[in-house]
Amino acid sequence: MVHKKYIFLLAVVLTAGCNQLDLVPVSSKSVEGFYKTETHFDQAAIALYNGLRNVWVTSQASYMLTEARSDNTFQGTAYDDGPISRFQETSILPVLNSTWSTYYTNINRCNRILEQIDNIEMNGDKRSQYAGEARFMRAVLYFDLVRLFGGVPLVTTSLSISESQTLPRASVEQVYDLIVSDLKEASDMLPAVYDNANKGRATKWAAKGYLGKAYIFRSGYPLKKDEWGLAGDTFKELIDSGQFEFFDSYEDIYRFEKEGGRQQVFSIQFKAGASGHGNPFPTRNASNDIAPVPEAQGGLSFGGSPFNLFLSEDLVDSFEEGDLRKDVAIRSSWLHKSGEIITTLPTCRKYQNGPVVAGSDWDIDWIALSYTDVVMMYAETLNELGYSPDGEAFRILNQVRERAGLAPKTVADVPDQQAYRLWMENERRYELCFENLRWFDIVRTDRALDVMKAFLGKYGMSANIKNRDQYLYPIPQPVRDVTPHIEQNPGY
Amino acid sequence: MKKTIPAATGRLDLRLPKAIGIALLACLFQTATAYGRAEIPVSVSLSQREITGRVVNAESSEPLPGVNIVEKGTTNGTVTDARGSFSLNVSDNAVLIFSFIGFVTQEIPAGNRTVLDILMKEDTKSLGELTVIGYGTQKSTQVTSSISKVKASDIDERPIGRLDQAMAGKLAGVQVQEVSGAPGRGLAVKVRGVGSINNSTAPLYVVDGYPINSGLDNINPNDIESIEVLKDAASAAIYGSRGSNGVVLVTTRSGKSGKPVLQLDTYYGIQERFSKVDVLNRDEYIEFAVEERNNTWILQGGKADDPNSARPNATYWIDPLWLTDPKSFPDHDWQDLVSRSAPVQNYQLSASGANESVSYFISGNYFDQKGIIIGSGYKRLAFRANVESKLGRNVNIGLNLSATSMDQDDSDGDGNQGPVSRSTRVAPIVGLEQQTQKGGYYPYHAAFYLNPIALATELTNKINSRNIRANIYSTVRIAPGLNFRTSFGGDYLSNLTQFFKPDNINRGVGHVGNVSTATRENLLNENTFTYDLNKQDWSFNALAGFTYQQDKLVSTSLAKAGFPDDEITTLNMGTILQSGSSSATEWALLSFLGRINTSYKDRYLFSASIRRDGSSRFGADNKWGWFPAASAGWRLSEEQFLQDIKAISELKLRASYGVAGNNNIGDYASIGTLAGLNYVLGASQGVVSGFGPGSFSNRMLGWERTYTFDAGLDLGLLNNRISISLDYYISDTRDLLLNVPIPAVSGFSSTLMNIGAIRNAGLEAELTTLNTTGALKWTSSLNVSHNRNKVLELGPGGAPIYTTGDGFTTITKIGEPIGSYFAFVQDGIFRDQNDLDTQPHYRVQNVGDIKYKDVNGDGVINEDDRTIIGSNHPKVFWGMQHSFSYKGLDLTLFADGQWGNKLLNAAIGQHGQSRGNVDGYWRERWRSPENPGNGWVPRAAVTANLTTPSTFWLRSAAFVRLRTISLGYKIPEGMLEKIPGITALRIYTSVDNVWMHDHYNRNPQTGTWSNGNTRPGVDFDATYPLARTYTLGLNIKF
Repeated sequence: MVHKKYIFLLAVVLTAGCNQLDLVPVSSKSVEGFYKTETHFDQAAIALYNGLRNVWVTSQASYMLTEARSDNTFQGTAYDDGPISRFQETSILPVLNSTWSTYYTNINRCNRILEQIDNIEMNGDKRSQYAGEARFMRAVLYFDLVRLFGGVPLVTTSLSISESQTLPRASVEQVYDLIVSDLKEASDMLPAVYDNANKGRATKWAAKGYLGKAYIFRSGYPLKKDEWGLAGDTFKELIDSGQFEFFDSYEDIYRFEKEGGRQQVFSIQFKAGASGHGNPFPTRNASNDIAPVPEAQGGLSFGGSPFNLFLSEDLVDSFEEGDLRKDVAIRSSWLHKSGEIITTLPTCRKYQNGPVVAGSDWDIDWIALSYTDVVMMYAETLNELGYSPDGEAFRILNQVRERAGLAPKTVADVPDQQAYRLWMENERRYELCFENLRWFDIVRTDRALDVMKAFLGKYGMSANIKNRDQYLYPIPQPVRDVTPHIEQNPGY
Repeated sequence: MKKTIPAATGRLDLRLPKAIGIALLACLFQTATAYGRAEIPVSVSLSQREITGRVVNAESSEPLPGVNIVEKGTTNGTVTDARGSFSLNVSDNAVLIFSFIGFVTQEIPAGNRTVLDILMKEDTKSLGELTVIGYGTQKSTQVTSSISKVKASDIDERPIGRLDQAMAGKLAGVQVQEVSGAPGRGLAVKVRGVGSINNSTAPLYVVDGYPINSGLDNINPNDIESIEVLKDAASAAIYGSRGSNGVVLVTTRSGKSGKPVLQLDTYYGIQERFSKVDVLNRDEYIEFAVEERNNTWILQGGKADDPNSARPNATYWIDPLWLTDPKSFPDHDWQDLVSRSAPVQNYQLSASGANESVSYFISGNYFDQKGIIIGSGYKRLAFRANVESKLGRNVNIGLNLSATSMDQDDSDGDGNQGPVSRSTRVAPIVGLEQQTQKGGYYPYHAAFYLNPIALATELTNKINSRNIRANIYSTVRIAPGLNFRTSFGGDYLSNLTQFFKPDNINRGVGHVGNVSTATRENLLNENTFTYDLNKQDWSFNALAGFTYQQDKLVSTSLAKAGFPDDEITTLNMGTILQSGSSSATEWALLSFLGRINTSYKDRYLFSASIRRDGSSRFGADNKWGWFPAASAGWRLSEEQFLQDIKAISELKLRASYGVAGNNNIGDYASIGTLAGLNYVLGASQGVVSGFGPGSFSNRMLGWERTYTFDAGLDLGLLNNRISISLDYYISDTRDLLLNVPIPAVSGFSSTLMNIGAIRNAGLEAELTTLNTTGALKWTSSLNVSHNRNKVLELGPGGAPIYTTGDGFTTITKIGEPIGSYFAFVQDGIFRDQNDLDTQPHYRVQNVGDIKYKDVNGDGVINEDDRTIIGSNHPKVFWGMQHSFSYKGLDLTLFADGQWGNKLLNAAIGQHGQSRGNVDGYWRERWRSPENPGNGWVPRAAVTANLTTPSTFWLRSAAFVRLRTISLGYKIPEGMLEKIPGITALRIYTSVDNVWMHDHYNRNPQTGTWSNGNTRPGVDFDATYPLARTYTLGLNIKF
């Protein structure tokens, strides 16, 4: 008996000791062991959408760095977008660093997929789709980074700590090269449509849409490459696909009943009541003082938010009389918590419809690339390729105007190419306000300096914007603390 | 992802375990043959006559039970019984050897005497006294490292509910912070300061050789024989990667040779509230509320004579009755209303004994402590069996088994929304039934300050803990001096928490309930060889072995709402599932260890140890670590040149250096985990699962290392009537695990790295004196500790770590103690307009507001004027005990204290709002330039002034306390003889928490809101009060 016990103990010791130290987490997934099956790649690709949703809508960075920078809003000083609105930010502004970090976190997730996807056996269509999604995501993320910060470090593989400590900045051109090549590849790899279960993922057409957009931006400030033809062809292909529809009603574009419809090329998907998957946009961009009663009673279910958009008078007052878009985007009179009706402080209304179960938990999807945006950019390429009185470019913008209940413009109103450009700038502003497009638009046309000088002048701050250096944000200070070789942008 | 099943041949080197395996096989063979040869010894002495007698302590004249008596040159022998008596048949001219641990062995020729009364003298050089060390024992005189010790007899003067309470104030270098008075609540034990920033600094507890991971809830303090605390690395390094926070070795009782002893120890006590917060009474409150609400309304642009209808909400409203008929309100002392006199009782029945082949100690214990706050309490039922048996000459086998069950009722006394907090915040004018759903809310009062009586009585929060720990072991004598010990044990813990909050105290949110469980399974196997060699001048002792320990914790939780009513509180009644989860985590540790202890002429002592730990917690490329230590001692008192100095009976100098580790880094910190990143997809908009890398894999991640140098001196004077032990140490913890920023282009903003260092340096003194001998015996002991904590290095650039939350900030900065409070310095009050106009302000300030000091002297008050205002690390803490005995009477006084540290009440930012009651210091507030109060408390108004953290939030944590007075009486034997069966009887009475001088409501050691390394000693108006306990106790031996 004693013998047996010792033999048992001995057995325990010898088997136990040798292999029990390599434990992996029981209740959480670990990186070792991931990217091994087709399912893993599907999960890894889905995570990219989550990341994009965060940077584009859910995080406050999305509107702070774009809408708050533009002449559409003039933000209060309580949060990070106050200095941004006033062109007074410095490199320590927290939102700059959080943006930089989360963008690269998501880029790393794209790179991991691209690095690993050829290591396992899987269905060829799926492999092509997941790789296409990773390239699409990486491209749109860099597209934002290059427009926010300029030539950022270009990461296309997963880095060790020491590699990350020495990686230099790339040039703006290099970043755009990657964006364009990624989008081209993505448009070849991604399916044109998905089955019902996968509806909402990036399609070939989403990649094409952003590719055209990238060409447009490459044709504008600062690279000023003439790629209008490339852009036009790309948009034309998308338009001719017949997959999309120019809605007859502006309001319908933003209605919950129409979400996922043919008015959108690529959307960010939301679901209310699913803990963390709701859309905060309708709540967050409304005044904090709005009464928490249904929209029909002049309030907003569950109220607004302190981070709200403070709409600029410049935007609100400049809508033409009878412009149907104004009431869809802006609520000019609303019910204050105290019961008072407020008419002096217009607040954002876009997307405030459909199911909502709590503040910041709306069901409605957020359109990242709308068909309207695509056709307007297409019209812009036509005008850039050559002003054509009452040509296709006129027809498109007038279609937009007529849908908004406005009279079409004539050659007398828009006598030349430059006039058309301004018309386009204005029409895009009203059509697409609060969709985080305005600031980038006026930078690429190099109009931002004039526009923002005039705008800040109304607040006695025109001196705050000095030169084109302010088209870019400063490189965040924490980035330069850990990697001092990353040079600061000029002017900061 | 499934857990990968490791292949039979892992990546570890197999050679070493194999070698040991071969050795084990060899020893098995030895064991088998030894067992085969074992014979029952047959006594062959020619018994001719009987000698009887009695052995007593020469100094105290007390009988000595358990003294070994052997006829020299034979195996014939016996032991004395409980009264010190013995009888033995001996041959003619027998020489009897009387031996007993701690006493000088005597050889007495029996001659022709038939009655022998022996006086045994205590061995003043304590040659026989043993100290428990890691994986063994050592003669106390030979110890060359820093070990403090508490014996059972040192902790029995007051009722002790838990092991950590037993250590409080008793040991130099061991700070036991009494963070809360709640029954059964764990205390914060720190050995020689805080040596980590992000990880646990709790010491490793080892019970009868078993390093436990199941907490102290399940250790019955009545079973404890001694507690040894290994303080320096030289003593703790044998525990390797778990030793750096100190090691507490708990030894439970075992059978002593002699007649079986059946013992009953019991006490019954009454506890009364000892700590209480000074708050305003009815009239003071009403006066304050009117003043505050008017002032605050004026700040909003209103006027003092505006009626309530002109004021937007209740924060500014004044109840008209306050002005017309204040006496119509009750004047409740809510703290008294939630308190009660509560009994505490303890029953311990034990039996112990030993003969040549078996020794045993078995005990059963029932402890029941009701809390002084209604609805709280703690109960424990504990059983223990420590049994050891000889299997022949060379083999011993034994079992340590304990089973405990602990039940704690906790009405959230330490929570900042619990009854203790609310008993200080609900205004005295609120009715007994008010501030509940059923009783309604007093409209001029904050609704969320709920009725403390309802909170205490209606909340269910029961914690049940069950523990079984069994360790079976065998020692085998392989050859003279060479022994092998192997053990196999399991430690099973299961915790169940049941929580139910009825709607009545949930502000109409509805009834909610949750249940959570935690089940821990810990297995241990240890195998050690020891070799002892004693020559004329030399002694040599060696230890070598290997151990394996693994641990798995499975947790579940479930929360439900939608209960129909509050009659049935189990979750089956809930209709809405709010959350449900389960998770598991594991670790494993494989270790090889070795140690030698040598001495030459009992004078020159040397010891060295090494441990190699392989831990599943460390990074894949850094699985194994070495933990070496060495120490040396010189007993000058044994040298010829000191023999003539009679005053010095013992003098030893010792020094040690070693490395121990802290592996409390989390089970999988080195492994990059995936973050769940789900999304909404599909025509039907379903949530689909996504995953992406969430943290960086650091394959090099390892333990925190503590390098300790310790120099000590043990001095015994006047025949050891005075013994002094001094220690100086410098303990540097390096490779601290910090979250370090890394370039975000890597995809991560930060990762855990081994970087940074902290120093704890200090002095400790323990002094024991035997002041008087003879009929009146008076002994005193004193321990004093000083520790200075200092951050030496932090992450890249050495940037300080700011920890901000609850409106205040602490700073961990190079050159300063960890987690120092960082805030403005109050510089009085703006007494009048002139004062306000001539001094710089912080933002907008008014007359009567707190004035801040312009610390950097730039004429402006802004965030740059924040500075370190104190820390929670005491400069000095001490304990002192005096014991007197006179005939059968004994009297013990025990005092403790600390000074030099601060605490912070994070709720002070909310004080001064009359939405509830306020602390008594507001009586001394500024009211007008003519009536400026004490110059420290601002005016009654809700301003940003109060929410700005400053020294106004800070309190001294210093205290002096007379902890215990205990008086006992041992019934003389003569009287006992009349009571059959009883051999000893002592009755005693004690008072615990007799008197205290402090600055924080007699709760100066609080840390209930936060007591983490970087945010220590933080209260939030909620610390379960300490109790004063009056106890009557009885010790009976049968």
